Amino acid sequence: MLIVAMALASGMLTVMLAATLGAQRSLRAKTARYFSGDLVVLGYQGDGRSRIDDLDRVLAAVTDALPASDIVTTTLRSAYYRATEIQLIASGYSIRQRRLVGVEWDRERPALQNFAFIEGGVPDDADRGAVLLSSVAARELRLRVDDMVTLSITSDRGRVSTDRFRVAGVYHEESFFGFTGYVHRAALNRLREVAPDTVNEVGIHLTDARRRETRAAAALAEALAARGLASFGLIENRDAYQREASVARDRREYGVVTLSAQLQEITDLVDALGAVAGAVVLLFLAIVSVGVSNTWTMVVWDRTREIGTLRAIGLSRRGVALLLILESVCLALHGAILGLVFGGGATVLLRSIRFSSNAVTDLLLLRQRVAAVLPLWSIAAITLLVIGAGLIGAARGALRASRIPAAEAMRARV
Amino acid sequence: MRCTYTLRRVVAGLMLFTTLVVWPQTVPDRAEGRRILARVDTLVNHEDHDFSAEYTVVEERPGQGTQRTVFVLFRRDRLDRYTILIQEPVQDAGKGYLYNGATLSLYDPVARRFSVVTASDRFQSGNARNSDFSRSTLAQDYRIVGVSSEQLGAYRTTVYDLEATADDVGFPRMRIWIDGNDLVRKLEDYSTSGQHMRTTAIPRYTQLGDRFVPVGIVIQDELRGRTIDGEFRHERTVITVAKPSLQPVPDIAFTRAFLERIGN
Repeated sequence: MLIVAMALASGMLTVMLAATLGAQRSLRAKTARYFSGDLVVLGYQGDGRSRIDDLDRVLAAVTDALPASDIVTTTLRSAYYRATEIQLIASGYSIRQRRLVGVEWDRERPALQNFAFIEGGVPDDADRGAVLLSSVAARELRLRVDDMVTLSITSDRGRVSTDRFRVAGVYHEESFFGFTGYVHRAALNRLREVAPDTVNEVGIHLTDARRRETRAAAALAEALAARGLASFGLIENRDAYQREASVARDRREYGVVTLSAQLQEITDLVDALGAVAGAVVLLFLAIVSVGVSNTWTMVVWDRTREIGTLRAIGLSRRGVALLLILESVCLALHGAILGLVFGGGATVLLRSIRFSSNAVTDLLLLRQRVAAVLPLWSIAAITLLVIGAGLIGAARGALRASRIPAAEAMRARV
Repeated sequence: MRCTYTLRRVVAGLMLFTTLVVWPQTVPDRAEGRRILARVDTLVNHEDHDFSAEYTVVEERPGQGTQRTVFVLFRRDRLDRYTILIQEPVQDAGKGYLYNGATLSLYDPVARRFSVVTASDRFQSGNARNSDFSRSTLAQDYRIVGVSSEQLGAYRTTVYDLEATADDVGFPRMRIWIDGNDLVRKLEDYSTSGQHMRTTAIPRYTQLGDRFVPVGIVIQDELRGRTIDGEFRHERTVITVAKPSLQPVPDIAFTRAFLERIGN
């Protein structure tokens, strides 16, 4: 019975940890694509809009600060954010977009090809007339790959600007990330009526971003200053983001924002959900621990004469305690392994379930599925936690057993 | 033989039609062009008086029904100010727009907050633009780049192709049809790439003193609509203007406090 409880605890931990890590991974991949990268260099002068005027020096700073092996790709984006102004129109139907992103297809291919494409894909780099749309936009406008769509914005000069684009790919996305269209940077700059080579953000997609992000951001901020660029350093959170964008400056200043800073509110929410799930599991583990404790008290009572005999033939008090603790570790280890097997199976099952699409689930799901992952460290952590719970539970019984005098134990009538 | 004769007649007819209906003219120089457009502006602006009227805007979306918005407009053209106070639909009642000559603000009585919008933004998400309700500034914002003549229904009109000379005008290219009284009877708006975005017809004006007020306006969106029974039907906006007046409007009507008080 005890082993079943431990297996259950281990299994629950496995599923919850795998789902939480998967949700974080999915969220991070989507937001890194949405926000240009894991690190983004922004240049502000006080009008609230970022622009990179010294592109060569910014790129040189990136090379100075980060080894090439840490970088998946560097993105140079033109970005258009005015949500009320972006309209996609086809066959009389229209839909608003929250954001329009101008990219260089080849540069962003490593990030963009991870889209869950329903149709089509990332176009060739030379294709200046292509657009990538979300499933929301394509459904509303009845569009398929190779259909033409009119994109209408109010240009940076305040004039209605339109162009026709060929749908090159439709990616699955129902959350707010789905209200973003991707076109070539040159095409967006033409629509915006700005210089063709205008870049608003330089993004860097990192390998092992979660671990490297903070250190890389600090190094990049230093490198920007070392390259003689006026710098406001690191942006730590969303409030600082808004503040730096609106501070009036006599020249353009550059800074670095990390994905974690951009995502602070969302990751706080995901972390809070993870913490609640963790607390539930820990509570369950505590209950299991109490169960183990009671069981081991019974075991000691049942095996009093056996303990007395062992003591009589020379086993020390410490040896008795160690024996019982080893037994509990063995039991917990088997429970943990059993739980990991069943939890792993449940995780595979969870990954195969296709959840219905909505703005919230799509934020945390990948292709409508939980992108559950179980890295080695998580398996080790779960095993250690379950063993720890078994150890704590067995400690009282083992201590009690070690304190029973041998003669008294042998006289016991059980 | 007979076929060739018919073809000749058709070609001759077409040539005659083109000569009569679309008659290219010499483009006026910049100063003359400005004078022409200023005359058009002057006729519908009210520099010497305040102007107020009740506007009814009906958005017709084929296959999706209609939406009706009623608002009161107060204009003080000599100071380039205007206020719009929405009365219908009920859920938007109390919303208001305030233009102070530089910034256009939208007041939301629910959030009790003003937000900055632009003149080229869509009015209440429809096909009319905020700038459609302000004073006419053709001479200030555009120059004439082409002229021709055209018979537009009952009106003999001069057609001017206009190109924006200023930013923030909304449409960078326009074509306007001016009748013999220097009143705009039709407009076509184009985007930067030359995409025809919308057509506006102004069949009815009413005269107030020596000025005119367009009291019947139809705006057709050239891109949005639905295909119904095999025919593409454009989204249309019909604007009717009632109770136009040149009576003085209190100064407070052009302040934020006014919108806040009415909205709350």
